[in-house]
Amino acid sequence: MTVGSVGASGPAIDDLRRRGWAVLRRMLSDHRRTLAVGVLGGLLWQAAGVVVPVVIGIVIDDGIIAEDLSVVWWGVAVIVAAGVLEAIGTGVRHRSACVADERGKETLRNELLAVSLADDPDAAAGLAPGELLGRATGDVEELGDFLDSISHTVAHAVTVPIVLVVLVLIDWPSALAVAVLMPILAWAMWRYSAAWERRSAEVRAAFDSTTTAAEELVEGFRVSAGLGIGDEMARRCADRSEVLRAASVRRARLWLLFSPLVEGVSLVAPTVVIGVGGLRVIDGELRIGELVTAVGLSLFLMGPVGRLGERVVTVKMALASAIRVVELTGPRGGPADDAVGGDEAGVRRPVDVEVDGLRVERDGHPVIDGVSVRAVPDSVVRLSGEVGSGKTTLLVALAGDAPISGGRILLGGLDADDWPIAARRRTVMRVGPEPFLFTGSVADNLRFGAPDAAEDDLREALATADALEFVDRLPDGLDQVVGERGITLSGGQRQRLGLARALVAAPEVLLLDGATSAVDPERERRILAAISRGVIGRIVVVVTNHPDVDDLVDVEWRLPLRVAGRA
Amino acid sequence: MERIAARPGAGRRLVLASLRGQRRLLAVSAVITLAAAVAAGAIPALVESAVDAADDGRRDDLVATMVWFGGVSLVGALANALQRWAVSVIGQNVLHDLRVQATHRLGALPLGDFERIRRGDLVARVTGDVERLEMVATNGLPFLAQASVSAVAAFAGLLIVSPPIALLALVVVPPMLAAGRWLLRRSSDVYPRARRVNGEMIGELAETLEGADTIRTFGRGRHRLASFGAVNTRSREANLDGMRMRVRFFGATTMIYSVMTGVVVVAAAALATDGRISTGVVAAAVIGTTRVFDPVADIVSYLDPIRSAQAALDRVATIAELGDDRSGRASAGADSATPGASPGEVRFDGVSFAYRRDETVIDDVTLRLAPGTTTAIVGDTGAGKSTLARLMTGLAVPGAGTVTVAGHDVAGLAPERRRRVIATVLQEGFCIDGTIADNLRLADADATDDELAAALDRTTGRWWRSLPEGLGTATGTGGRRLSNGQRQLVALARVAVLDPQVVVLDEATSLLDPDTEATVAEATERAFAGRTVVVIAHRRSTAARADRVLHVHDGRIIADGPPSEVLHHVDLEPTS
Repeated sequence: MTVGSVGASGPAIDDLRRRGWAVLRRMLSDHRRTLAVGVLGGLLWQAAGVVVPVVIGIVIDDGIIAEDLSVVWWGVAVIVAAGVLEAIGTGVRHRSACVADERGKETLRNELLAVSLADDPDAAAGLAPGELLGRATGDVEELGDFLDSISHTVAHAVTVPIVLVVLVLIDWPSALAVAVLMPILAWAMWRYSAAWERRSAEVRAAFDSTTTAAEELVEGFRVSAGLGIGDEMARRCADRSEVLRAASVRRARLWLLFSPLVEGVSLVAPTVVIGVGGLRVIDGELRIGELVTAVGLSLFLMGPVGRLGERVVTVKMALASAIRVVELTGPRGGPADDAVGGDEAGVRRPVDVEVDGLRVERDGHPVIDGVSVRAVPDSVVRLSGEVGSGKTTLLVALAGDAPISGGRILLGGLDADDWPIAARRRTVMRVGPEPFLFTGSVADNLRFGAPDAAEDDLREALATADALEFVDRLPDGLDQVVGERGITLSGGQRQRLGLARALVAAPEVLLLDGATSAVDPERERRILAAISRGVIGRIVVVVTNHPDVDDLVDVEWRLPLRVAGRA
Repeated sequence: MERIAARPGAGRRLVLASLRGQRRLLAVSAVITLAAAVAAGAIPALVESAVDAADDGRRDDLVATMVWFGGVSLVGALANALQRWAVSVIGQNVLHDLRVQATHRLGALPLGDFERIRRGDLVARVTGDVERLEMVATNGLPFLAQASVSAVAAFAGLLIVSPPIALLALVVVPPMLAAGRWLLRRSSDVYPRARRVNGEMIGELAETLEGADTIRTFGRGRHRLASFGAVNTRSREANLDGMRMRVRFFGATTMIYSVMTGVVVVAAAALATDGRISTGVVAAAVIGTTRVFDPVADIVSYLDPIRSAQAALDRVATIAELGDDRSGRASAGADSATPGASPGEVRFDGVSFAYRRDETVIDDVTLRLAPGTTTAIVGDTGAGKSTLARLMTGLAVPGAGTVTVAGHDVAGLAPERRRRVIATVLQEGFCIDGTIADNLRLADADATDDELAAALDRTTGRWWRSLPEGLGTATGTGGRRLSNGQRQLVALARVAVLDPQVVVLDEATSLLDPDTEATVAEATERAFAGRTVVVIAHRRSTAARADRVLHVHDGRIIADGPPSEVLHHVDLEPTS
């Protein structure tokens, strides 16, 4: 994942970057109290860690060498007490870091979902559900890691100079040696984790493409079995798996370069301290215990210094994720209030539809252009046109889910853009060929658009959609659980439930965009006849493959084919 | 539909088989490990001699020890890096073998077996489980291996410097073991629950994102957000349970460690004041115990992810063993064509078939389909139409009798040969994520662009030439960037590239509007002109266009003749 995937450039990127930082700052300020407690815990933990080598030095000099056992006992008491404080400090730090991490992720997920469900069709930046899911999981994790790292980072940043001062007081040449090595180590860790993240992005991309191939092997199994190309599908998986293996091995190669460097520098420090300090001991300038303390502290320092180098990358990754998240969480708010009740001022009822010179573009090319059609209440409209003529696009625009780049849509005499979005959704509803059923009972799904609908209403809608018979035959009837975790329904059954769900919601303008395409012809005609009988006060627009429904249709909208030129 | 029960030991068998192929790397890794261990074990002794040299004022010895210390550190650092790398490469090779085996077996699975498996379960395995293994192979195993070597070597080093102190340091073992056992017991409860709740949260998140349009259409956004918020909070709490467990564990181990340090200091002081050990040994003992303890704490924290990866490994490896217990009729030599059989001819000789022992689906069917003719199969749902088609294409193996196509026993034909003879086209315009060309090359990996273009032109007309990128147009995952009709046309062209002698068309469901359907029907006729075509028909109009209609009822053919004779007896029942 790279910042480049944002697809913007120049000033737009700068703006996104600025807003990305704003997200990080806001996360810090939202959790400032928890984070502050975490930092205090971290300082306690580090302080206890520093005390131990100092005490051991004193025990060696003033206890063991001076043969004063009381110093030994005192020293041991301090070491154990420091252990208790360290345990408390570690606990407090870890707890606060995790709480900030989990709370931050929880909030971000809620916000991302709110944007994805927002009524503004641009809010989700045209991202597919899979990409949105990637941001709500991968990027949110990255931002959680950022919050998680704060207490560590601040505690380390404070500890390093303090320990350095202590080291100067004990053995200044050692402190000097360590001070020279520190930036090298921090630099190495920074480069290392940056390279690691770069290679990890390659590994992630290879992993995703391997997973996609494996999912396709499963999803397309019936098709590929029918063609006998199962082995080809498996070979695709194997090829991508090899790319993934190679990328992972390439990433592991970084260890060969960086880990001897990092570990080497970390061990040069104590080596120098032992050598220089040892010579000073011989010259009587340093005591043995002080030497042991200096070695202990120099070893202790290397951890925080290396970690600080890594943090540069944590922040960079968090910023990249924040930018990807901020693309979605602009000033656009979440979904409107759930569509119930209310009446719109200045609207002619029952609602009629008037489309005037409509133009809708995709990727800069017009899909439909100059479309003018109209329909009055109590009518059934058949919409026809060849593949690619934009039938679905027109219906999606009518339902308010596609941005219009020319012309206008009037609903009940009022420009559709001037309608409150919730009211518009309640009034115009599009049902596609692949209805999405949620995990839950049949009744839950039917009540999706009308939570208070009575069971009689559900049964009536099922009867119109010719679905009552099969629902009654389900083991649990209306309470049967369907959707991903429920029983499997055939394509036609799903379509009929989707249709019944829309009928329960009872929109004034119902757009059936291939909504009965998987239903067999006789049944389809029955359904359309029932719908056309119930059309009073409403408009139904239907895209159907039934050859023989002329008697049920009042108007025909036929779209001309527009052939896109080569780009 | 069922879950695949994880076979115990499947993971071990696969890992061992994969490791047998990597003997050289394993040997290299063993040598490096030894070097790393020696380097780690030498540190306490070097600390001892350095401190003693300083104490005794031996300058030359001090400088020499320092040089040794630096050299050994460097060797240790290099060996550690090499070892981590080698373990990681071995792990990645094993994972690659696992992925290849599993997908290979899955691809070769008979359709009937595949349909008994729950799809969601399979997808979870190929994504979730494989990802967990990936993480362990990257961040777990290499470090665990290194930590184990370090702990053992550091203890050995301590033992060389001062046996009594080393043995005394072992007091830390029982409480550490107790803490480790507590962690494992708690984590086997806490982590799976957290994973389950997180799975529910992600599931609801995914469902909401996928169904976003529907939610918008019905104006249920607020409601859906509220219900997600609830599971989101549960997920947070489940993860924080893990945090609480870790806080207690690390608190306990930190205290155990400080008590051990205290014990070592007291013991060293006692021995030193008695003059039994030098100051150097005291320093070495204190520094040495740290080097034993740190890796032990690491090892304990790696245990849980590795244990859960083991379960994941068994689950995935079970897929790699799918089909092991079947006899495999597709053996070499079985697919020799009967001499004199004409291309495109289909024969059933006394064929019977049952999915389960006492449920005969096809009952003693004998028939011959002449090359180049179109035959429609009609009948009620469950009459055996689809099974007949599956027997024909070798996707189901007859219990009695034989099915031959162009003289080949299809059940014994290897897939790469079978698909040249007979193929089924479902009205499911499945597309892989790639370009249109990638999709067509599934049928023939070596086809040139010109051949693909010709196949498209022949079947689907010049429609595709209006696409901005032509053959290179991306289809998107599942063909999402194409319309329903376009997906169908690509699927048809794919079969045209394959160009089998016999084509079975399953008219099960159609998601097409009338104009698109007309285009596709036309394309189908063009694509398979002159081929033997078998249509599983649901629409009267489709059956009426065939040369011959077979009416199937209760696994038998009860009527056989031209459409005008057969169709007026048949009530074409709804199927959906």
